[in-house]
Parts: sequence; structure tokens; C-alpha cells
Amino acid sequence: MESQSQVLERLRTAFESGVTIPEKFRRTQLTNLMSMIKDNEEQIVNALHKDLTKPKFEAILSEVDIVMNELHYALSNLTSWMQPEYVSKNLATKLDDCFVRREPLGVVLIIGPWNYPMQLLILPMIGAIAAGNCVVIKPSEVSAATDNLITELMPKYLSKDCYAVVRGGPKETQALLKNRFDHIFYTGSQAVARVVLQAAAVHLTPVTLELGGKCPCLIYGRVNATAAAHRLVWAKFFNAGQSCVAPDYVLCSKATRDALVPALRQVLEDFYGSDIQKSPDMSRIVTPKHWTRLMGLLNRTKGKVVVGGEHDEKDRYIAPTVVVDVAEDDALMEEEIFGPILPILTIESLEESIKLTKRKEKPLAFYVFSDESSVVKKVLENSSSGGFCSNDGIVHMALPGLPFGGVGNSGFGHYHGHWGFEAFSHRRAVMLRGWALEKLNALRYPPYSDEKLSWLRWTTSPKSCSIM
Amino acid sequence: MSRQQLAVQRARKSFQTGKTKPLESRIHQLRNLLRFVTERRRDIAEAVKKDLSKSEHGTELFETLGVEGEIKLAIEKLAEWAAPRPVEKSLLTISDEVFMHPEPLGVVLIIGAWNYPWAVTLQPLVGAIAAGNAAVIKPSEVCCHSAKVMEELLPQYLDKDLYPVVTGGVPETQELLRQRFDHIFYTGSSAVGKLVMEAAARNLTPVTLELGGKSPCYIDKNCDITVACRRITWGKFVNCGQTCIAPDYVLCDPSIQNRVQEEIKNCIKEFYTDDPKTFEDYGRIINKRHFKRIMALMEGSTVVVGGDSDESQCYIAPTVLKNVTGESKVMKEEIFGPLLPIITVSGVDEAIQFINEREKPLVIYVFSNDNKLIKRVIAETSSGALLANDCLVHFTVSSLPFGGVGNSGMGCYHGRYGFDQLSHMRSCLIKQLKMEGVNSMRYPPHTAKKLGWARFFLLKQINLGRLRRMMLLAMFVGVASFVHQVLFQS
Repeated sequence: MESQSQVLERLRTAFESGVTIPEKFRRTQLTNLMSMIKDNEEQIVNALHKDLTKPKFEAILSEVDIVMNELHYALSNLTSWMQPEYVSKNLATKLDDCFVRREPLGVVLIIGPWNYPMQLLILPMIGAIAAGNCVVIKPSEVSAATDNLITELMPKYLSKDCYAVVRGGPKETQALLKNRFDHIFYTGSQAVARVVLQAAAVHLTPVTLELGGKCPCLIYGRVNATAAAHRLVWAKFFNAGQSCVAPDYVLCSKATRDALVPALRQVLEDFYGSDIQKSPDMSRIVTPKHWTRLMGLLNRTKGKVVVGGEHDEKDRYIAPTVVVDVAEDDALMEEEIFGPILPILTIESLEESIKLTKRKEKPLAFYVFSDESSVVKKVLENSSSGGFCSNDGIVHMALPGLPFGGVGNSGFGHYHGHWGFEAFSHRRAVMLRGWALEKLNALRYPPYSDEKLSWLRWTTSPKSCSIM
Repeated sequence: MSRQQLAVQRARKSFQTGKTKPLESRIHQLRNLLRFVTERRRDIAEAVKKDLSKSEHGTELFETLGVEGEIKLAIEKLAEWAAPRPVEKSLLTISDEVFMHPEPLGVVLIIGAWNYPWAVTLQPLVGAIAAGNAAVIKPSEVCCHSAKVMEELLPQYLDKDLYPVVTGGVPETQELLRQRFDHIFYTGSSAVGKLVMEAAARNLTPVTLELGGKSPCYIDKNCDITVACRRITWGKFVNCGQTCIAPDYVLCDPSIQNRVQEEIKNCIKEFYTDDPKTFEDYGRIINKRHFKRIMALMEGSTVVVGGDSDESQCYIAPTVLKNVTGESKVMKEEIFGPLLPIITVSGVDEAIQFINEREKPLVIYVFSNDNKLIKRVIAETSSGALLANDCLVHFTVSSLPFGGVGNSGMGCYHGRYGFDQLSHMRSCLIKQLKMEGVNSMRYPPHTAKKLGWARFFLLKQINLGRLRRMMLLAMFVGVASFVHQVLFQS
């Protein structure tokens, strides 16, 4: 079996040979990746079910289709993405060619998480391949069945010289991080992100961090409680709440809460039936450790459980649970929940709610439900987060036109669509000057003078080119 | 509480009041910055003269002209840069608003360098102010006169709380780096860049690093060698070679080596007279430590032009070296001084190989009439930027991103790039609570039929013009109601 350094040497040699540069090569690899997903859809769904008891519907939508979509998008747009971008010039440089070229960085590392083990590993990989890099992917060992599947399938479809899967736990990942990469793309927690960043600093490696946070969901003003409840339940309990962009907690007035809770109860029954544990459409918690962590939060909360609360340790099952009368310093407000527990904090005024969110770290997503556009606007303009979505949850990340990423504690850098291509590219400024007009250049040579200077000011100001 | 902590705290409190949000207030600060640079031209020039022996014209040309241009561009374009940026939609979001909302990051730390103390500290500040941030400005202590002037005078023009100037040496900088920022913008050496990034890691702070490297300069033997050497001489000896994008070393065919040497010798005489030491427009090395460092680099190579020096003045003459190989002392680190080594290579193949054996530089220069050759160098090398047939001037084109790659840095700025680099592009999707029927295909209980519809509608991407969008919306509404009916019937 190959050692990590052997793998990296092989990829670096491949990159230096220039094989990943031509568009044709990148297209072939992306098309092969598409075949990999298409040919093995059933195995992928099964692996995800093994890892997370993921319902087939969720697996198809959030792990297969979203990847296929991104591949289609990349293949349709690759040619235009690879084109040089010509830029505007000033008078002194009018006769020159000035453009920005997107170039691959080299050998990049993508570390995936366990909650959407296909999507969050393959989607960045698409950007990396499209940008012409060689890629090392490190699937999460926690989602073991998917890890196995990816390790088995990837070498069958993609060039073994340019793309490699490296496996292992924290020890192997730390060893991997000692190597020099040209970019590191990490999805996961803040704690590990610090380790990644410190390792990257040693080699001055640029990093993209896709982290998490407590995504607030504010419900204020006039609101259609039923519609809101549908979308809120869908977004919150998708993947049993184990989504980095799941609405973490709700802030609303007492009246809204009183209208919302029965609506939530009804929607939960409509979606999952009266015995949710028997529904094939509800996922499970990924590991016993996380199950215990979530049950710990439920046991320590000072709020009141009004919906759900049922659990089954052997099945790693926790029912969709709603907790009310939660205060700002409650156990449920300490860390990102990442599970099927929805705390509702009762705050009468929108302004106070906004202030509460400002006391917390910037989250990956920020949600507001309201039929009043003034409420939506107020929240948008008085908050900060990776992304923002009104009157729905999660779906903003399915639009490849929008960059997907965090800010502050929820991360930096972004991807999806064109942004993924850019994340793994270097934007090289290129300027091709002519040999003529050497007399014009004389303005800048010593000996310096006032007259020369004022001519230079005129020719290099951006305004002067509007004359031409 | 330390001085540094206090400054950061005040900046953050001030930022949190929201006073940097309105574009008018940002433009007001930018106009004040412009006034500072124009009204205090004398003070700035005097400080730079004391720090680097740069003439007043030299300062204006290389420091303040660029800053003025950036400020004026930012003022003119701010409304455009800061406006929400619409993006394409999917079928299902056709009636929604989908856009990116540029937002300030918060409190930015700008650590300046000593070689162009005003340009590399104030140009990032323009981006920071335009993007609506507060900024703590830490000028380099090595250019002590400029740092002092900045500390004394800048607060007279800019908001003292939002844009404090914090001076100091290594311990003060380390204390600053212990504080939490929303972005750190560092210009300087790769060695310190690593330390900055490591410090930033603690708070998960993103960084922009404008570092350096050895920028190679390849001269094709079939080009106009006279003009090439003029431009290279100018690019090299500006600021006594203390420029991050100075051509560090020359690569050329042995057959033209003597000619290149002669031409550069003539240009040096033309630009800096027979006695550069007494000439106003030729500068000095910043301090004794760097003087000694640069002098030591000459060891093992042959001086063919210049070579004389005066430690008491930190003066090193414009110098050209030959008999230099990849192993010579002068090739071991970025020179950052007025020594120009000439290394012979047998053609562009060997030049490319030589360049690729080394770390990615901030810029690669190539002088040639042959477009194919230039294209080859572009395609087969990597660097922050590439400039053909001239030196330095790509820095002045504000529509080109200025930054490094690999060891020469990460991130970029100038013009709109500076604004974008110090903003957060927040993705926004504004939906209504209507059309709930359409959403129902994604809700459980999941059926094969629903899955089919969802696969079609939820994820297909379309790029549309407005008219086609209207047409499609009408068709879509018709289809949606049909689907709604079908689903509710089954």
C-alpha cells in the first residue's frame, strides 16, 4: 500500500507534467465523475443509508442530484470559465494587452465531513478538477460505508495519477497536513479548523474553511404560520438536523410561538406519521457519541419539551423535538445543536432578537420568516452571516449562482458553481506591453521633474481613457 | 489593558454603532484621506527622504500618485461596488430575489511594510474604508519617520476611533496579533507572513498576504535589447531595488550577456549620473542591517558595474553581477537591493526550468518580440503576475488584481479587488411564503412520483433573459398548478 508521501509525489509529478491543463482532460475527468455517480446511484444510496439511515429521497436530492447538477453546470461553463478576462486600462497602457488568467494552483487537499459525505466532498472536488488541479480527497472515517465506497470507485473512474483518496482518522489526517499543498479545503468544526490553519501556515498554503454555527431563525410580523411551519420542519429535520445550514433555534413572540407550535406538531404528523420512528423518511444520529451528546443537551435544558422528546439509544433515534421557554444561557444555546432539537426562545421585539443574534458568533446561515418585507429587510441589514434566506431554509445553498461559504466563526472562502472554480484557481494578472512609445516611458525615468510628473498623472489616471 | 487592546476595542465599538455602513460616510472618510495625501505632501516627502533618501518627486511618483488614484477610483465606483449583485436563478426561484450582498467584515488589521511606507499601508486602507470596515493601521517601525508622521497626522483627517494608527516594534505587533480581527492584511516577508497566518489561525481570521520572492527577468536574445535594458534598469534601481516587484535577477543567452551589461551600464549613467551617490533621485538602503545583508550577497560573484558602497550613508551603487549561478549567495534569498545578477541560460527552455525549480515569485518578467515565446512562458510557469516587455507598471493598472501565489502570498487587491477582498459577499435568497403547493413535492412522505418531479424542478439550472423569464413563469405557473392538482389527487 502506498504511503501518503508516495501518493503526493505521484500527484505532484503528474501536475508538473501539465496533463491537467488542457480543457479536454478536465472535461473527460468530470464526465467520468458523472458516470461514477450515475452508474452507482444505488450503491451510494445504500451506503448513505448504512451511515446515517438517510432516506432515499434525501440521499438522491442532497447527495446525488446536487452533485450531478454541479457537474452539468461545470461542463456547460468550463470553456467560458477558462477564458482570459480582459480588463480596462488607463491611457498610458491603452495599447497594451491586460488580462487576468485563471490558473490551477497545483496539488490540493479536500477534507470532507460525515453529514453529507458525498456532496461535501465531491462538490469541492468538481471545482478543483475544473480548475485544473490534482486532488487528494480525505473522506470522513465517521461515515464509514461512504468512505469505503468512494475509495473503491474513484480509481475506477478518475485518473489515478491525478486524483487520490487518502483514508484514516485524526492521526492520519494530522500526518497528511504536514505535507505541502497548494490549497486546503476543509469542511467541519471550528476546533479542527484551527489545527488545519496552523498546519497550512507552515507552508503558506491558502485555505477555504466551511464551518458551522448556530443558524438563527427569526419569525416576526404578519406570517402564514402553516406555510412557515412546513418549510421550517423540512429544513430543520432534514438529515435529522445534521446540516450545517439547518435552522438551529427560533426567536419569536409569544403569540407567534403559540400559533407555531401546534402548526409544527401537525406538519410533523403530516410528514412522518404518528409514529415517527417507523417512518422511512427520518434519518438517525450518525454515531452513539453524538446521540449521547444530544441527549445530554435535552437532559440539561431548562426549557419545556412540547413536541417529541422520544428516543431510542440502540436505534440512535431522537424524535423531532421542540423545546419552548428556552433562555439565552440555556444548554441548548451553548453550541451548534446539529440534531433534531428545535429550541424556541420567546422574545417580544424584533430589535431585541436581532441584538441577541449579534451577541453570538456569525453563523453560516440566517433565516427570517415573515410576510412583511420590511421585517425581512430589517433583519438582512442588521445581521451578518455566510448566507441569508427569507421564508425558507437550506435551499439557498442549492443555487450554483450563489457563493456558498461562511464569515467569522462560520468560515471563510466559498464555492459552488463558478465560485468553486475560482476557489481553486490563481487569478494571474498578465500585461503584455509593446515596444513602441518608449518616448512616453521617458516621463517616468530619472532625472525626475515637476513637468514629467504632471504628464504622468494625466496619462495614468483612469478618467483619461474616457477621451479615447 | 494594553494600548493595542484599547485601540482594537475602540475600533470595534465604533464599528458596531453602524456608522461605516452608509456609503456617504465612507466617501467622506475617503475624501479626507485624499485631502491628507495632498495637503501633507511635504510632510510625507520629508519623512520618506529621511527613511529612504527618496527624492520628493520619487515619493510622489511611487507613493502618493498611486494612493490618490486608488482613492479617486473608490469614490467614483463605490455605489457600484457596494450595490447588491444579482445572480442567475433556477426554475423554482424564478419569482424570488437572488443576489450577493457586499457587507463589511468588521475590524481589519493592516500591517504595512517599510519600502513604500505610504503606498502599501494606505492602498489597503482605501479598500478597507470603501468596504465599510474599521481598520487598525500598523506602519512598519523600520521606516520610523514615516510611521511617526502617520501616527501624528492621520488622526487629524480620519476618524480616530475607526482608523487608529498603532506604532511599535515586534512586541507591540505580537500584542496586536493576539487581538481578534475580522481580517488581517499583511505586506512583508514570507517568514513573518507565516507567523501572521499562525496568529490568525487562533481566531479563524482570514488573511491577505502580500509577500515577496525572487522575480526573474528573461531577455530573449532577439528583442530590442536597448529598450529592454532601459526598462529593466529603471525597474531594478527604483527605490534602490527595495521593491517587492523589482526584477530580482536577469536570465539571458550568453551571446548577449556583454551587450546587456553594457546597455545597463549606460542606462545607469543616463538615469543616475556618473556619481549616483550625489544624485538626488537615487536612494539609500533603509538601514545598516539590510546594508550589511546586501553587501554580503555579492560574495562569490563578479562585479561588472558599480559595486562601491558607503556604510555610513547606507549607500550601495547600482551594481551588476556576472558569473552567477543558481548556487551563488546572491541567488539564495530575495535581494531587495541594487544588485542585478545576470545568469546565462541557453534559451527559453532552460529559463523556464530555472524559474520552475524555485518558489513562485510575485512577478515574472519576459522581454521578447516573439508572442509564441511569451505565451510559452505564461503557460509553463506560475507567478503572482506576468509582465512582458516592461517592469513594475502592472502595479498601476487598478483593474488588474495585485497579489502573489504560493510563497509570494495569497489574496489580492487594487481597485475593486481591494473592496471585494475586505468585504463579505453574503448570499441572499428572498422568498415569499406563497406558492406552497409547489414546495410540497419536496416534503415527506416521499413517493417515487414526487421524487421525479422534485428532481426536475428543484435543481435544474437556467440562465434567462427577463422576457423569457416571464414566459417561462407563465408556463411554470400552469405546470405547477397541474402538478399541485395531481399530487393532491393521488
